[in-house]
Amino acid sequence: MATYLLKRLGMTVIVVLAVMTFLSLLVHLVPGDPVEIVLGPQATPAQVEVVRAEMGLDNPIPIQVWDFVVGALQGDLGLDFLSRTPVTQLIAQAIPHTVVLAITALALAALVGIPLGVYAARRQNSLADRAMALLSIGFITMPSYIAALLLLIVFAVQLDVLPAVGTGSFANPLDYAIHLVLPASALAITWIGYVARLVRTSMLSVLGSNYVRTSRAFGVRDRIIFYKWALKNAIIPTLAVLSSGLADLLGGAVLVEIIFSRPGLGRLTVEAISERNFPVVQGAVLVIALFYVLTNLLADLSYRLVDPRIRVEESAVGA
Amino acid sequence: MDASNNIGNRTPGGLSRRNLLKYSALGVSLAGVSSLLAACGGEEGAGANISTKLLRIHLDEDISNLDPAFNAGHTNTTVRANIFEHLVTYRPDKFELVNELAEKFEPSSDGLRYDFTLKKGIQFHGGYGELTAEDVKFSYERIAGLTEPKIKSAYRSDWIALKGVEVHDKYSGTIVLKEPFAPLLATTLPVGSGEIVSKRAVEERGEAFGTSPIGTGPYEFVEWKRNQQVVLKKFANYGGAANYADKPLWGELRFVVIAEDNPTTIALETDELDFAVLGPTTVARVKKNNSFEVIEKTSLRYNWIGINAGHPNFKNKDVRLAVIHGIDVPSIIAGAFNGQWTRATGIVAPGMPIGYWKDAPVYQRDLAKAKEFLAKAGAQGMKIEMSVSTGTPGGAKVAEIVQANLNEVGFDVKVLVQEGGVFNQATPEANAQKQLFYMSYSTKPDPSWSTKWFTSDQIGEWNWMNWDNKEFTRLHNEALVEIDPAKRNEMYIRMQQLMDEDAVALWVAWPTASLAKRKGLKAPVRPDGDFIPWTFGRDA
Amino acid sequence: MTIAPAPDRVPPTSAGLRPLLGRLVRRPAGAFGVAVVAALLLVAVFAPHVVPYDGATQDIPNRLQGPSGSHLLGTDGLGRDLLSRILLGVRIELAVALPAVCTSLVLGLLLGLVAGYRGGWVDNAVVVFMDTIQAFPSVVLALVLVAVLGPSLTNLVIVVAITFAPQSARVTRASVLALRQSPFIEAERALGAGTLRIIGVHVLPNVIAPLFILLAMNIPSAITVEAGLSFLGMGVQPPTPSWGVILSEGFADVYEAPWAVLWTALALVLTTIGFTTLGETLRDVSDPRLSGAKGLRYDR
Repeated sequence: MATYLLKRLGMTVIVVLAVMTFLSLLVHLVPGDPVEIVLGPQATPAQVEVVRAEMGLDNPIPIQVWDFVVGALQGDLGLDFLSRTPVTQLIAQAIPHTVVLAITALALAALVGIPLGVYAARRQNSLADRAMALLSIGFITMPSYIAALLLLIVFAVQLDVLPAVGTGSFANPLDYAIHLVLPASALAITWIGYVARLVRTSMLSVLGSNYVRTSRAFGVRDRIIFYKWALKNAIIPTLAVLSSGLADLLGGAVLVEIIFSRPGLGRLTVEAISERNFPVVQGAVLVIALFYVLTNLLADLSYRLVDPRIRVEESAVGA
Repeated sequence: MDASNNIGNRTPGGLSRRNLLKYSALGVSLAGVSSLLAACGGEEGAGANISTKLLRIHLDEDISNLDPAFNAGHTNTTVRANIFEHLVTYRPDKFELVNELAEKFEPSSDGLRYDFTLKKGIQFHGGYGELTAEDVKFSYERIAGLTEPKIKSAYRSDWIALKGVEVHDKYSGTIVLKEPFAPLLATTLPVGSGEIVSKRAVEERGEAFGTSPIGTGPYEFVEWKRNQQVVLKKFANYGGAANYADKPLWGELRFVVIAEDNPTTIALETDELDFAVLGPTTVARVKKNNSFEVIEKTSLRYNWIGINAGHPNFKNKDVRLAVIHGIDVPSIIAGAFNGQWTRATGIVAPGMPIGYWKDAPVYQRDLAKAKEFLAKAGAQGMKIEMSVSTGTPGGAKVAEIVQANLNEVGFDVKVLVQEGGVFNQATPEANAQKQLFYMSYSTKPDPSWSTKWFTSDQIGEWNWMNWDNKEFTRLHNEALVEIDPAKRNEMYIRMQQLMDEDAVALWVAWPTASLAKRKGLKAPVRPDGDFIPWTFGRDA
Repeated sequence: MTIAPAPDRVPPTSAGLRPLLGRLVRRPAGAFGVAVVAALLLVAVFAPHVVPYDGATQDIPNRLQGPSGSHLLGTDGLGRDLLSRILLGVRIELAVALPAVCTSLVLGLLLGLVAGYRGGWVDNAVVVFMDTIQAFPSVVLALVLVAVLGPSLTNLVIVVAITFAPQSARVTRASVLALRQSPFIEAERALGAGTLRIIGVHVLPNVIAPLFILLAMNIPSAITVEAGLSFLGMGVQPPTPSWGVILSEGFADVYEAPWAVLWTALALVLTTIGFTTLGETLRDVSDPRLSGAKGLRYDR
């Protein structure tokens, strides 16, 4: 286990460094001159040189990569091209909106999805179960931005009962919460489908196992089998999927944030890409990627802790 | 999908939809409740329903920098107009100059010297002390690039004629020009480049001044949350220089950033905005809503299809004429702008004080003629590109109509919808690649602000047509130093004729500025659709 | 994360294809999936010959019309027939999704085979490479790559292929790792079979089955990414009637005429449900052990 842990951590560090390298090279990969964007078209050659030096674009590329990595490790992601504010400050403003949105969506997914899954498992092969199976496929495959468009039209425009723009004010929690309803629901729909189905399948796999059949034959009560064994078995993979979902939603919220005009991380990223505002792109994408890598690491490790049968990855890494 | 069910928004007594939502139990039809309340409330005394604590104004793009020297985009201007003041400025509702920070302001007869005396006791925000003539000198010379450290303001051409500002004493001085400069009183002093900053604050704060501005205006800067909002609060020690308008009424001005048209409309309907800039597709919807009134002004802005005469495909004027005769402008206005905008026939809109070319030709689509020109050039089947920015409303539709029109003529048109960061690059390399493009330039109430981008020295920058016309360039420079408005009028008309003769552009629209205001709000707006939020009030 | 198939798995016989299809359509979900996918393929092939209008001709006086006898689904903002555009769009969607997903599968297969079979530093390098790609959420990665390459149909295919490749690489690698240690491979090796023979005869048939399922599952994801990017104006260029373009143009007029957004959204939902049910039923009938929790990783 210790060797595995070491290997896994080492790999994670390498991946993070690779991500940073890719991002720091972005300025050179994307067509167009970043200095041009900072200065506008009326710049003199002398000014261009000054800014070029200031941005470190004169240095050899490995040095540029090194500078970006060192800066990022010290929490310095550079200045926004346009407003000259620190990128970290922009991200700090945007990230709470996205994190709260993602967590709300996951909570909704668990609150709605788990009972649905339990119900379907209890009534296996009933009409309700079949209907639910169809529904969950519809949910799982529904792209969140399609859900967002439909929810917006129905609840904000036609029924006119929920706000659809912005976040409301953090200072007024109720106002903020009301603004969360539509975007969080749009994001949650896929996950409700996932969770419902995952819970159902995991529970059924327990109910169908030999030892349950044997226990039943020996008179163990159905309720105990159902809730104590089957549900417990379903909860762990559900939590694992939901925890990996957090990072997924941070990135997946992009279009939903745009449709609902929420000033989150995804929207910040898209606008920065469109403006070719490289420091902001690098910073925002790095934060999202770090989240992704770290939650995956945690999910992986927790999986191993709860289920020692997973050995293949270990032998692979250890080979 | 119509807006008639939104009548319920007219909630009296400041009880907003969200408040209703707070207090009502789940399951109650909120729309029903609120329309019931609205029905009881009636319409009279609408102004009294608006709280003076907070005014919420829409920005259709985020701000980027609040330093007047580094202005980039119209929403910065909208916000700055509450923070900074000028020696002289326009009234909030018309192009009439009034004194602001200047107690006295006297131009010399040769147009070279402008004596000013400041009002006394005007304070800067944040304890930066009293306004002095030194601040005036610094503000103007800084944009001109005469101060140390030298800055490179994109607006230095506003002060291109500045020799310097002489300071006589604490409160008086003289602006001295190298040569007469006609736009000074039209588009330099009364607007952005005439705003006066605190010298000490700029020197102390450096680059950060752009996000922590210090002026003398009735509102001071509180915070900017990117893509979200800008908050200003009433300045307690306001010197009251703007005595041409009512006293500032609002405790807080909150600018809410919503880039897209539809969410803007929704924000109005859900009571998250008091005043908004509407896109052409949503105007009709807001007009149906009883809680709002729509103000419409033909702006001075001009939208056009440019033809890059420097590109090999368009060096031949016959090809350019085939484009101009082949495109159906009324279709564009109907299809891309819901028929809401006025067709343009030149760079200068009728609302501009001088320079409107009344007899400009109006090109009706003439397919036969267009084909003839194309055949004459021997360019049938020529592959060309039409580019637009994703950020230009209706841009993609314009491009698609142009494509359909010109394919009929015999071109083979490829549409490029590019992100702002790609489309708006104004470098020689990027300019060389443009072919046809759809663009929109804003302008100010002097035609020099419209013509300045098409002179020969703008090639490689904003003269995307790569149009090199010596007479146009000469006229532009001469008109800057000509003081007689009648002569200037002639010159600007002649310049537009030159553009027409060389067939480098097809004028599309002078957009209508459509502004929605909550009923009961008094919102003075200038003839070109510009507005200054702090001057808003309530109906009696 | 991948829970690997049990190591004692025996190789399936390749003779089961026809019965497989039979088992597939005998299930309601499978029949539905097959029907939807077959219909989409037919539309993609024949749409240009059967649509009522060419989808490009503009009719501005008749813009934003609701459904009527002459335009069954109404018209868009430039008066073009929506039914025609949406049907023609099927071809565009598949023209992006099919090559993109196939490329990603081939890429993933090669990477996975090499990594799984060679092991050692090769394996580690491949894993780091895949982890790096997967460190970015797919939409964000696709946006960045489009910024690098420029928006076009071909580039979209490349972008989606890169974005999706790690997933099939993982699936392949896990299968190979499991097989490598299985007794029957060890027996083969002991009998002196060469690497290529082992891969070709024993490993490949075993890892390809899950990839077919991935194919069906990933096509809707690819369509979703395409439509999302085009919705943002960073994908297929108008007037090409990709669903993302129709959605993006329709969203501007959604209050006056919600038809474009509504129909396109429904078409997209139907397509994704069709492909997904097909993929899932395929998985269930070909190897029930792959269903449930394990399948969830394949879906992402």
